[in-house]
Amino acid sequence: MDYATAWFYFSAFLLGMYLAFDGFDLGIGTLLFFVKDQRDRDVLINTIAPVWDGNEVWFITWGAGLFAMWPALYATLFSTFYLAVWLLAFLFIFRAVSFEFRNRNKALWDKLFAVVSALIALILGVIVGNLIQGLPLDASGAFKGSLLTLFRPYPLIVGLFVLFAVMWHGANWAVYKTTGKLQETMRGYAFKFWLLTVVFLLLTVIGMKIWAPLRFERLMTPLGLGLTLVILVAGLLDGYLIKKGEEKLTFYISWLAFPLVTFLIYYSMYPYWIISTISDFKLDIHDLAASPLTLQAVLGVSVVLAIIIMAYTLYVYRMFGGKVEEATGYY
Amino acid sequence: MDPVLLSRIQFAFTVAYHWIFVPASIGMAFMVFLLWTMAAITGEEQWHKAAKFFSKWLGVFFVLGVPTGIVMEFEFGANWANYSVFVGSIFGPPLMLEGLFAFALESTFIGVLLFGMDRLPRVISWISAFFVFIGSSLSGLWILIANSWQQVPTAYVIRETSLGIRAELTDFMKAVFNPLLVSQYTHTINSAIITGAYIVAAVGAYYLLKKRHVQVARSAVAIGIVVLAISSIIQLYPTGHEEGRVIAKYQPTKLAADEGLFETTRGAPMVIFGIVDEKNQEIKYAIEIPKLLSWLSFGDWNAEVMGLHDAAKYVWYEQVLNNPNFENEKVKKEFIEQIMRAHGVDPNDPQANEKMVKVLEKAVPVAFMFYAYRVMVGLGTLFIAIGGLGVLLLLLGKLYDARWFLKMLVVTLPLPWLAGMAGWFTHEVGRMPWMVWGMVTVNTGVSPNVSATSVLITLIAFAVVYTVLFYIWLHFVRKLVREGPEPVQGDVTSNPVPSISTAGGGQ
Ligand code: HDD
Ligand code: HEM
Ligand code: HEM
Repeated sequence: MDYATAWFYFSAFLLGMYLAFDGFDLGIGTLLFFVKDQRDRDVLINTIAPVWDGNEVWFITWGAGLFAMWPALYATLFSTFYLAVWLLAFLFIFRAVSFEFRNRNKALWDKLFAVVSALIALILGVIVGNLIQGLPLDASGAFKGSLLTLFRPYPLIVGLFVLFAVMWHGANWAVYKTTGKLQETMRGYAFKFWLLTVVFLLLTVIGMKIWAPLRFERLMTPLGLGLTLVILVAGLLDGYLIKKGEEKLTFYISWLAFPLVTFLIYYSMYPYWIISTISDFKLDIHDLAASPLTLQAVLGVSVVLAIIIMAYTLYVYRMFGGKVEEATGYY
Repeated sequence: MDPVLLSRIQFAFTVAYHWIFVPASIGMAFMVFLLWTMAAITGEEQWHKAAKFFSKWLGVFFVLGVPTGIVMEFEFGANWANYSVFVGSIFGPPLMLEGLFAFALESTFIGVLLFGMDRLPRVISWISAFFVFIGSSLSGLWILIANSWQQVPTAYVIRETSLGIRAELTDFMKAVFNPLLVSQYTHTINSAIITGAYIVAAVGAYYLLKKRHVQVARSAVAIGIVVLAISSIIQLYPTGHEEGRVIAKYQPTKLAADEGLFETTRGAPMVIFGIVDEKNQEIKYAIEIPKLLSWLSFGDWNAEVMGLHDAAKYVWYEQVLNNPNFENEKVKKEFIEQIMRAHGVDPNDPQANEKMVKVLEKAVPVAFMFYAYRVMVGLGTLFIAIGGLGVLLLLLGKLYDARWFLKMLVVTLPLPWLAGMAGWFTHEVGRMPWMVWGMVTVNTGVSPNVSATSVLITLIAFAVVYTVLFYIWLHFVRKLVREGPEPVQGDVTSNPVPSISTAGGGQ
């Protein structure tokens, strides 16, 4: 395997980790919409309070990885979609501060937190959807669309898929971390959003056939097909386990689903970061890559560090393990 | 409006805002680690309470440090796309390693520290504080590698690729350990430690003046003053001095602007203060120490220091036109013509080179540099004095009762930020018009496809959002001040004598 390919899949790993870790706190954030009782909301927030900062690491690293290994991709995407990018940045800012500042006016900040969490999940999905479908680029690579191009039907489907998936994941986490009536309510949501996730996963795959045939072709190779089946079976199993009242396993499965799905999507895109929907223009991950020395110099150390981070992250989760019952704020 | 200018304003504003929280986070992490260590060594209650209290302060700075930093990372791709393509191969890896190496450590363990200090064993808090400090100073390391490289680029080749002309690494470690890194890194981290020490001392002083939380406050003032005294000396020597020497060697236009030196001079004096007259190219009413600048910069009392005009010539002819790191002559020609055109100079003009020298000369605002540099060094000197005086009072046993001194500490709390900001502005404005020294200017580095309107929209959005955030954040800080540390036995926690509430920075 060449270095560009290795980085491509490492990038998938980073994004997958981000969605698996931050996914549940985006999900918890969004679920605040449905929780009326202030005490319950406090409990939910407290389940993610000690860990959510650390979860953002994966996002930053994923972004910096794109910058480092495909600087031209990073720069072109960010400057072409200038305003959209800054919208996302402002959402991240609001999320961070609404989390920390909520004690000043809980009702207001919780709403803000919920809206922003939902939007972030949706937009991340939309971005991935655009990468899958490709962009209207002419033969020289110039962008022939507008901001609205980003919100075509297929990217929106993928956006909703990610949104429902994090809500399913968040609800699973809540079931794992809470007790009593709140846990029961959350179990209900886990099942509902599980159902929506499965439906939208299917739509995402089928939509590929319609809107991104080149990607779909890659998906239909033995590895792609096999992985799709594994994900579906695991997904279906999760629904069954939720109904059965299982607490931990359901969360582990939804956790694992994110890196698997991310890997699947990257796999279907390989080896093109960007394809054009209106010409033969394509951006190959090899052509776009940083200089060979850069690719080589930090791959090994990055992989080792990622493993070390996983290790101490798990350790910290264990430290804060167990059910959260109190509603007292930390701040 | 000009998208380059707007992008510069936006970058300067957002990074300066980031820098409000950065030195405080790094410095606080250091102080908090010290406090937890003291608590472990002495086993005394007031150290433990102080450690817990200031851990909360650390959290308060961290809260805005992270999102404002993410903004910076986005900014490179969005506003400086050409720059990012050009140096991405070099700039990106440090940024990525920062995430894996440092931010992960920092953000994971700040969670453990803040949420665990009431329920986990103390040793875990101590270890977490250590990791947070290591994490935040490593995070500074990676970003400063990128910054020092763009000031003094090393170990690269400029090459034609399918994506246009760009710089590629030839030796990763050499690029990392470029000549500026060590002095810039130590100087910057140490400036953060000064800031942290100042905060701890001033908060302690505030409570002493209010006669609240007296035991915790005494510990805070004492440790803050001691750290301040030591770190402010290190700030001058060796770190500040070393940095000046590297600048003198590699960035002569910056040095000339820092010192307000228009004419090339042998045995150049050090101007302590004066008024810059840019029109007549002189410093009026200068108070100077003869030959000191030559000696400080080159270790020789009679060394020649380049004036601004000669320095600009040197930069253009020696560092740009004679740069040996081009892949071949064709790349070099094309590349240099790009730079010329971006600055409105026609490459076929026989005067082209002279015009570029003028461009370089005009790009550095001498008066601004001269004053900013003096603000930093002046405040640095003041901190040494304050630290020294404080230690003296401590040794004489008078520190806690010297109300004038405590009041002064509270009132002067903003100064470390001012010094650091002045330092950064000297450092960054002084390399104008270069983004990457000798290679990328602000005109060639900007995003080609972002309109001025777009940048204006985001600039206004930043101004509004950041102002509101700051306002909310201040409330947060005030709440922390009001609550104060947990009570230590025998201490007064609320103010018994309301009449002293006039003392500094009040509510
Ligand atoms: C010497 C220190 C220093 C300097 C010059 C900068 N930062 Fe910073 N940054 C930090 C020190 C730091 C920190 C101490 O690690 C922060 C600030 C407060 C905090 O909580 O973490 C942080 C946070 C932070 C974050 C979020 C979390 C993280 O990854 O650490 C990002 C993405 C950046 N910064 C990026 C930047 C960029 C692109 C800069 C260049 C303009 C920059 N920072 C200047
Ligand atoms: C946090 C401390 C920093 C401060 C306060 C600071 C300050 C500034 C200022 C004032 C400018 C605008 C200069 C001008 O337009 O005249 C600037 C520009 C810039 N700085 Fe920094 N800087 C900091 C750190 C960094 C770091 C760490 C990097 C890179 C790794 C960096 C890279 C840049 C770049 C690329 C610009 C481009 C925009 C321009 O040149 O105008 N800065 N900075
Ligand atoms: C005491 C005497 C001091 C000396 C001799 C000194 C010297 C220097 C020099 C030569 C530079 C490089 C400027 C350039 O690139 O043109 C610098 C930068 C800087 N200084 Fe200072 N400094 C002093 C005090 C301070 C203090 C007290 C602070 C803050 C608390 C501070 C914070 C900074 C920062 C943040 C930078 C920019 C980053 C860097 O280049 O390291 N300095 N200083």
